[in-house]
This record gives sequence, C-alpha cells and structure tokens, in this order.
Amino acid sequence: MLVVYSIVEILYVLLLAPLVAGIQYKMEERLESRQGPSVLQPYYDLIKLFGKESLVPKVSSPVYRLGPYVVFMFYLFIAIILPIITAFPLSYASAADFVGGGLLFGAASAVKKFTAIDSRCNYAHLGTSRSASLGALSEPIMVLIFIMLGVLSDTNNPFVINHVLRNSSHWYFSLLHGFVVIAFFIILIIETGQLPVESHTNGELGMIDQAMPFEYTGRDLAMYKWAAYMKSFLLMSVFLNVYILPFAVPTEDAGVLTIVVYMGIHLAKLIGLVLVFALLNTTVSKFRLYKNFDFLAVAFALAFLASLAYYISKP
Amino acid sequence: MQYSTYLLPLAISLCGALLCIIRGAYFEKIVSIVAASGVLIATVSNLWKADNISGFFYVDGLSKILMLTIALIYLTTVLYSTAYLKHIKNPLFQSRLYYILLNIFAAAMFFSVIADNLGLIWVGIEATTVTSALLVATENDQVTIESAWRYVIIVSTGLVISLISTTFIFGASGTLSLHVLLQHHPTNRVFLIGLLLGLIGFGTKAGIFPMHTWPDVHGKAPSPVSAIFSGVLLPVALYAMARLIQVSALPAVRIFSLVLGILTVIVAALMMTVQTNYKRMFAYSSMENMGMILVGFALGGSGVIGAAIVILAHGLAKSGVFFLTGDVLSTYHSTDIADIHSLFKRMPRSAFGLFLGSMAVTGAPPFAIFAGELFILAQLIQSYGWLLAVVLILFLAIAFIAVNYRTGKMIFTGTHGGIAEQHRWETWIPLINLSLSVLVLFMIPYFEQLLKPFFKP
Amino acid sequence: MGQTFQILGFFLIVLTLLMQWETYVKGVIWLFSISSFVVALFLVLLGLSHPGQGYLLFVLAGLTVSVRGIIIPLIMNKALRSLYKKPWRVREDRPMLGIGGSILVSLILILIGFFIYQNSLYEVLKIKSGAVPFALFMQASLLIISRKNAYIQMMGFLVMENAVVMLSGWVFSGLPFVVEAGAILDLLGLVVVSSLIIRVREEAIMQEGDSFEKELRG
Repeated sequence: MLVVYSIVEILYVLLLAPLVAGIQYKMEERLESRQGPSVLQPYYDLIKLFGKESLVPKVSSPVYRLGPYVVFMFYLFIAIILPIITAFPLSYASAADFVGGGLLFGAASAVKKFTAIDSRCNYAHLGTSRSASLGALSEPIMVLIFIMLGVLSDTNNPFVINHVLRNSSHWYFSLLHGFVVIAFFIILIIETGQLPVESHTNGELGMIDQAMPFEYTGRDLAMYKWAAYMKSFLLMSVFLNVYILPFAVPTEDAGVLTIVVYMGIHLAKLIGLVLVFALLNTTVSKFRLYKNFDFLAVAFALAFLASLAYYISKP
Repeated sequence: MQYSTYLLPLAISLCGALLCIIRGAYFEKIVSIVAASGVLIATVSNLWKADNISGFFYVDGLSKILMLTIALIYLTTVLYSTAYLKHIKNPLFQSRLYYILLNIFAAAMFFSVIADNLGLIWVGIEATTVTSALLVATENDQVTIESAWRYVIIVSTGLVISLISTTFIFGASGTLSLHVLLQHHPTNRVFLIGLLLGLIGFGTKAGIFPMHTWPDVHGKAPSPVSAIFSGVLLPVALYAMARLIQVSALPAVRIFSLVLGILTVIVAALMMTVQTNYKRMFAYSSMENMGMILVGFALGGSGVIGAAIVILAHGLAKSGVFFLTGDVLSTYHSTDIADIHSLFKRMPRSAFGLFLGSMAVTGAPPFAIFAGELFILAQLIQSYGWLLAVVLILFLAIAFIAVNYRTGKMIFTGTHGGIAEQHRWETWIPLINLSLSVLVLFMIPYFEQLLKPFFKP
Repeated sequence: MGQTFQILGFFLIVLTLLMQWETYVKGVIWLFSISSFVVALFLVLLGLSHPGQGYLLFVLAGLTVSVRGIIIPLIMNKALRSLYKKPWRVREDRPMLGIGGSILVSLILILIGFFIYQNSLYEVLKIKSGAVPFALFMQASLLIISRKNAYIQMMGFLVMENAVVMLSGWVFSGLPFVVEAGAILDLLGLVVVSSLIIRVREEAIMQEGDSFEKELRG
C-alpha cells in the first residue's frame, strides 16, 4: 500500500506543479484587471517544447545535455521524502531527513549552476554569479531554519515536526516558530523568484534565476521548466505542511478516501499561498540588486533570533 | 521645617534663573550676581548648622564642603562672565539664555549634593548635563559644536550606565535612600555589581580613566564655563562616587576605585607631556587632580580630609587659572602654547597670576592642594605601603614639570610687545581665587571636625 | 506573563535590528516611536501583574507614551524640518559598515550580550530571559558607534534608555516612580538641547566638510 501512495505522491507533484504556476500567473493578471492566460498555459508550453528540437552549443560538454534531467531527478526524489499528501513517511522517506532535504535542494541548484556555466552564454554566467552569491547566503539560512525547527521536536524528521506542531499549541504559538516562519517566508521569496527579489520579466538588471536557462531549447528546456515548477511546488508544500498549516494532513490510520480528499485540500492551501504571492507581486517593487543581500541578512537575523528565543524559553 | 535652609541655595539660584527671563539692560547680570551672593551667604551660614539626615536630605560634612565650593565658584564665575561674554565674537544664543542656563546648572548641582535618594542624585547630575551642553557650545565655532556633541553623547552614555546601576542597587536592597543603605550595608552580589557599574557611570562624568576622553571639551569651551566645569562639575560627580564608596562595606569597591584613581593620575600625567594647547593642558591637570581626589575617597581615613581639601582648593585655583587663560586668549587670539610668549611683558598681572596658578594646581606649597595631596599620600603609605605612593609621587612630579615648563615658556620667554592688558576690574578675580586657595590651609582643622563620620574604619 | 514579556522583548530586538537597517532618519524616528509604544505596553502589563501598587506603573506608561512615543519624535521631526528643505530625504551618507554588515554585527552583539549575561549576571539574578534588555543595550550602542549622523546617534541613546527601563521592569519590577519620572524629564531636556546643537552642527558640516576633525584628536 505504501508503494502505491509513493507513486501517487510522485505523480501528484509531477502533474500539479505546472497547474499551480499557471494559477499564479492567472491571478496576477486578474489582479491587474487583465484577462491573463489560461490556467493550463504551462501545460501547453511544456507540450509545445517537447515537440521542438534541442539545440546544443558546440563548445559545451555532456553536462549541458544531462543537467536538466539530473535536476529533474533530484526534485522527484525530494518529492518522496517530504510530507506532501501524507503525514506518515512513505517508501523511501527515511533516505534523507530535513537537513538532507535542504542539502538536496542545494545540490540541485549546484547542478543548475554547472549547466549554466557550461552553456557559455553571457547571460547565463551573469545569472550564475548572482544566484551563487545569493545562494551562498540563503543555503546556510535554509539549513539553519530546518535545524531550528527540528529543535522543537528533538529530531530532524519533518513528519515528526508536523505531528508536534499539529498537536502542541505551546510550540505552535512560540516565538521560535514565529521567527522561523518569517525567515522561511523570506527564503521562499528568494528561492521561488517572486518580487521583491526577482520579477517575471527578462530584465538584465534584475535577472537572477531566470538568466540561467538562457541557452536551453526544446526538450531540455521543457525539463528545466518543469523542474523549476516542481521546486516551487515542493518548497511551498514544505512551508504549508510543516510550518504554517500542518493541519488536516492524513495520518497513518487514514483511509484512501481521506488521502484523496486531502489532495484537494492541499491544492486549496497552495492556491491560498499563491494568492499571497500574487498580491506581493502586484504591490511591491523590486529591490536594487545589492539590497537583496541586506534582505537576506534580515532573514539570517530572524533565524538566529529564533535560536536565542528557544534558548530563553527552555526551562 | 527647621532644615529647609538647605533648600535655600537651590531655591535662590532657581529664582535667579527665572528672573533672568525678564528683559532689561544688564538686568540678567545684576540678578545673577545677587543670586550668587545670596547663595554664598546661605551656604556659609549653613556651615554652622547641624547635619540633617532625613527622608529628603542627606547633608553631612562632605555635602557642606561641596556646597561651599559650588557657591564660591558660582559667584566668581558669574562675576567673570559679566566681563568675558563681550569677547565672544559669534555667540550661539543671547546672554540672557547663558545666565539662565548657568543658574539652573548651579541649582542642579546643589540639588545633587543635598539629596538623600541615589536616584535623585542621578537625576540632578543628568540635569547638569542637559544645561551645560548648551553652555559649552556658546561660541558658534565648528570645533566647539563638535566637542559639545561629543560631550553630550559620551556623558549621557555614562549616565545610562549609572541608571542601570541604580536599578541594580534598588533591586538588591529594596531602597535607594542613602541613610537606610548606610545603616544596613547590604553585601550581596547584585549590590556589588550595581556599585561597580555606578562607579563607572559617574566616573564617565568625572573624567576618570578609561572614560577620560571628553575633558578635551575644556579646550574649546569659553573660559568661565571651563572654570565651572573643572572647579565644580567634576567634583560633584566625584561626590556621587564617594557616596557609593561610603555605602559599600566591601573592600572590592574601594580597591576598584583606588586602581581607577591611580590610573587616572598616571594617564593624565603622561598626556600632559605632549600637549600643545594650553587650555587642554589645564584640563588634563584637572583630570589628574580628580584622580587624586578619587584615591583619597577610596582610602578613607585622613585621605578623605585630603580629598576635601583638594576639592575646595582645586576648585578655586583651577577656576582662577581658567579665568586667566581666558584673558590670555582674548589678547592673543590663539590657544596654542607656541603662539604665546612674553606674557610677563605684555600682561604682567595675568602672568603673575598664571605663574602662581599653575604652581597651585600641580601641587606646590604654600597652596592648599599641596597639603591635601600630602594627606592623601600619608594615608596611602599607611594603608598600602611605600611602593604605590612612590609611583604616585613620580607621576605627580612628571605632571608638575610638564605644566610648569610650558607655563614658564609662555610667561618668561620673549621680550617684545608693550603692555596689552587693560586694568579691568575683573582681572582681580583670579587673584582673589588663588589667594583663597591658600587660605583653605587654615580651614583644615575645621574640615577634620566636619568629616568625622568618615573616620569609621 | 513571562511569555508575553519575552514576545515584547524580542519584538523590541527586531525593531532595533530594523533601525540598524534603515538609512533614512525619518524611518529611524518612526521605528523608535513604535518601540516606545511597545515599552509602554510592557509597563502596563507589568502594572497589571502587580495588583494594588500597579497604578504608578500605569502613570509611568502614560508618561512614556506621551513623552517618548509622541513628543520626542515630534521635536526631532520639527528639528529636521527646520534644518533641511526635504526632511524625508535625510539619511546617513557615509555609513561605516554597510547595511548587511551592520545587521550581522548587531546579531553578533546580541549574542555577546546573551553570553555576558549568562556568565555573569544569571547566577545572581536567576532569570534567564533578563538577557534580552542587555542585548538591546548592546544593539543601541552599535547604533551610536556605527553612525555619523547625529540624529541617529541621539536615537541610539534613547533606545539605550528604553533598554534600561525594560531591564528594571523585567528583572526587578521597576524603579521608584520619582526616579523614572525624573529620567523622562531629563530625556526631554536632553532632546531639546541636543536638537539645537545638532542643528548647528549639521549646518556647519553642510558648509564645510570634515576637515576640522583633526583638531579634536589627541
């Protein structure tokens, strides 16, 4: 039975990630009183891209070709080890804990950077250097956040943390939790590329993550984009299921129907978060590039203060 | 209330401040002089009253000596200011405001020395910071304003530290009242930390090492303000430290203040050797004397008499010296030692006064500071042996040589220039101050009687 | 009750951190006003937890709100307006540390404050969370040291005073009312005087630049 759930979870992540991205684009456009693309537009884009041919620069190495597939693989693997549709660990969930998940995210972005460098495109190099400098600060913060949240359950297991936060209102309303939530929200903005860090347009002045796949075409680009959608989906799911709204996730004794119902509830939660992002994208303006580092410093400060708050409240 | 005469100096100077608001030609000067004289009469008459230790006041011998110091220097500063203010080229505010601030400043100092509650002493000293900040900035010169701002920030930070210490003292013993604390002498650790922090905080106001960076402001403030700073404000801050030392029954506090005092003397003496600005040189001389006073208070016994003598005598002598430097500045228009020469030819009376004054503040006989330092050194030898005393004497000698060499260079070298000083009446004031500081010698037995409570071992 | 105090204390730490982030003076003044309101709220809660003698603390909270939260920011805004033609543009022109760096240094100072408190005063005071006002104090001193703009230095000093009020309330449940009231009045006087001095200083700096600082060394 567990195997079936695992397959269902992978398929869930795979198939619904573009939908969530499409809903975000549509919402942003509707908030600006425009018609906007259809919600299924990312699917149409992916199907179109799969039909096109991939062009490869002559000077690149096999890393360029294989990169997007490796990244795709990483994200699929992460989909199993996180609590997305169930609150109990599935088949391979014990392969990596929370910190391992954070490191896997880091590995995926490292591979992305390698492929970008290998593409020998100037814009890709630009994006890589910016992404690397931001990443040098945001990856440790992410690991710090994961560790701090693990402190409240004395483990590093996201499933146990989910359980603790669902049942104990003392931890849910504590300062530690509050600080970590705000810090992770900031990291989420940076990693998924929302305003005020990165806007959707391809402006050279502000491109960070968007500049990296500049040289890709065809099927490789389709994989790359799909992997990007999955990354957003996974990070948002972690935020919702482990940090903010760990409720209603089906536990071990739930039946199949509960899990199916929960898949719908999870989509609703994601749409709620996407609405927040859409509001953010239509109201704030983009930071000057170097201000992003100060923004990250604030996130680091909050994560750090979380550890001090925990230390104080320990009896 | 029988003891309400202790409030008289405070009340008179506040009334003087309020009356100064009224416009009138020379009105504020006359009012201030009248107020200051009234204050002096009230203070001198208070000397014969009994001590008052009750809920509101804590007035014992030390307070009376300080009140006398404040009153004397207040009067002479007011008298001198009436003549000096004409020389400031570009004043920041009207002279009315200057006198108002000066009177409130004196009132705040009186308030600090008669209050019983440690918190109220803190409030008084903070009030002196507020009023004196603008006084320092009287001359609208860039460097002056910058040094005034530096003074405000550094001293305010120090006073925040003393506020923390007041919190600790209150928390540890449940009361801030001096007479209750003197009866009980609590000894728990929070109290100790509070006392040490209080010494550091008030030490910032008094210019004790390592918080000695702000007395440089003396170099740029107008002369009457420098005089009243060195003469009275620093000793009032030391009064607060003396009360803190008196309240403690722990030897750690005394040793801490002893170490700080000795280090202050050493640092001041060393810094005096490299000065090129004569007002700043005398400011460091003030710092050295404050270090000696702190050593005296830390030692107890006859060290306290010595400290009290130094307070009164140094106040008088240093204010005289600063008045004279004001005269020199108004004639030569420069504060560098290298620019001043042939003082003896050009300004004989001021040169005479300056010569005697610089001997006085560095502790030469027959001025009373010499006697005071002798008392302190005697107590030091008696309590701690010869080594520390020899070190102190060495650095006092270094300071003596440094200051007098430079002053001598200013006065005796060069022979050109005719008489440049006018025989104004106010050039007598510094000489009066200096002679008073000799007369302090005759008050020593009276001081011994006043300060009896400090002789408890 | 302890939980609420911790939340308020950490909120103050975050506000001071944001003050370190701000370069515009108006933003710093506004953040200071908010933090004074938080301190007043803290005093009210403290008064509520001491039934009977709490009314003095309520008066003190009212004084804090009116003087520190409203009057002092008003005075500083007026001083800004009288000096500059566009007061909302006044900012720290020559930051010594850079914003990200100063946030990180502020964090390190918070950690040092906690560390010092833990090793020295904790055994004496027996309250673990008393480290928060200490951290605030160190952050405020960083604000003073790392800035050259005199208005922000004054704000740093006022935050230090706020930290002292928090310390006295948190660990010892308050200083006597007379002392606190005197402190507030002194602060008012200090701000008035300082705004005058700062105004003249900034006028002078705007005219000439900083060639005069050499004379003050030594």
